[in-house]
Amino acid sequence: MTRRIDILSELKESAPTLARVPAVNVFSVPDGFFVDFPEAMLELVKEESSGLLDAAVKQPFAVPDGYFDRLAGNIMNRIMQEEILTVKEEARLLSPTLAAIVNRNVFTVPAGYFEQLTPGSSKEVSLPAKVVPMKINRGMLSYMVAAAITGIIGLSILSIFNNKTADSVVSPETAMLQASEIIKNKSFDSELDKISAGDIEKYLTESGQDVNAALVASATDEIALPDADEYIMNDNTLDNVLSKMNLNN
Amino acid sequence: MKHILLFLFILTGSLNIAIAQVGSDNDGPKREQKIQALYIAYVSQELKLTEEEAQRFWPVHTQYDAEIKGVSIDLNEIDRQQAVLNIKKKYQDRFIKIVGAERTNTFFKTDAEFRRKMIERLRKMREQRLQNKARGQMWKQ
Repeated sequence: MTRRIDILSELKESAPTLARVPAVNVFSVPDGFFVDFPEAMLELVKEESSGLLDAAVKQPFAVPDGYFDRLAGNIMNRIMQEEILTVKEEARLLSPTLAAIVNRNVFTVPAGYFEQLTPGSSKEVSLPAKVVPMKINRGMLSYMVAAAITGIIGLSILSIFNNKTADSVVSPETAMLQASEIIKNKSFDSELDKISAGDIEKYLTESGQDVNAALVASATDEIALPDADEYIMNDNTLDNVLSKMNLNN
Repeated sequence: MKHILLFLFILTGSLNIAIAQVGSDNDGPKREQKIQALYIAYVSQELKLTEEEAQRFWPVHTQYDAEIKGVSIDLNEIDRQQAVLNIKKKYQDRFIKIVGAERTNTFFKTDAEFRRKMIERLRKMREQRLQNKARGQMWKQ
């Protein structure tokens, strides 16, 4: 009862219109309708499709009477009546190629071979066993060779590096000797020509020189700067001066 | 054996690169030494240093040069020039004791002149490079 009330309450919330419809069965049948219903229905179907029902009930397959009682005897009689084949005939039927091969031994030995064959004769034909010398492990040998060569190359490099390091230090004595040679040979200008731009720039920078400013100063020393009026008269004056300086990198 | 050959190939290749790197790194001091030799020759000729003067002058100059090179280039220009001037004043008396006042004055001028020559040389090299570049572009056109 409580469950019914719950359902009704829920129905009122979800569908109030439906909840207001009275719970009355609107469908009805005459009294005793379902008592004779199966027979009445069957009669109705029989009347409407009597031909189809007969066809459905009739078995389409049929065997003569007593067929299965005699079946085993009939099969055995049929087998006995069949012609019995020999093995060769059956082989010829199944595989003609195999049947064509003659059953003959193709291996032969000279006459009296087995009479002359004695157990001692096998020693005469036996070959000495192959002597396999013991080898040094090739993997280990490879590592030894690689280590030796690496050592030689490493020592060589170390030697070269040490020599280079010794050369890499600026020696005042060497510089003095070279200076003496330059004075003696009067080769200052020719030696200066051999110095690269990068080395000069590095030297000047290390000496605390602002290279770019020094280059501008050097260029302006050489070219005659225009008068102040020329800058007013001609807008291109400054561009012309700068292009004359050619100070771009 | 193939593994060994491959290993040796890689090893020798790497070492060649290393040797080349070491060689290029060590050429710098040699070139610096060349410029230093040119400087010594130039100053010696201009100051007409005797052997005895040279033996006293150049050790002092080495200290002077190290201090000049030690002035930070990060300083502003005024401060940097002031620092250089202070070092020059500091060594002036020591140079005067060796070569006299007149030649000390000549030394400072010669020092600046050498730098000017180097700048001049650098400028001409850059101009030459620009001209060659322009010529190359003309040929391309």
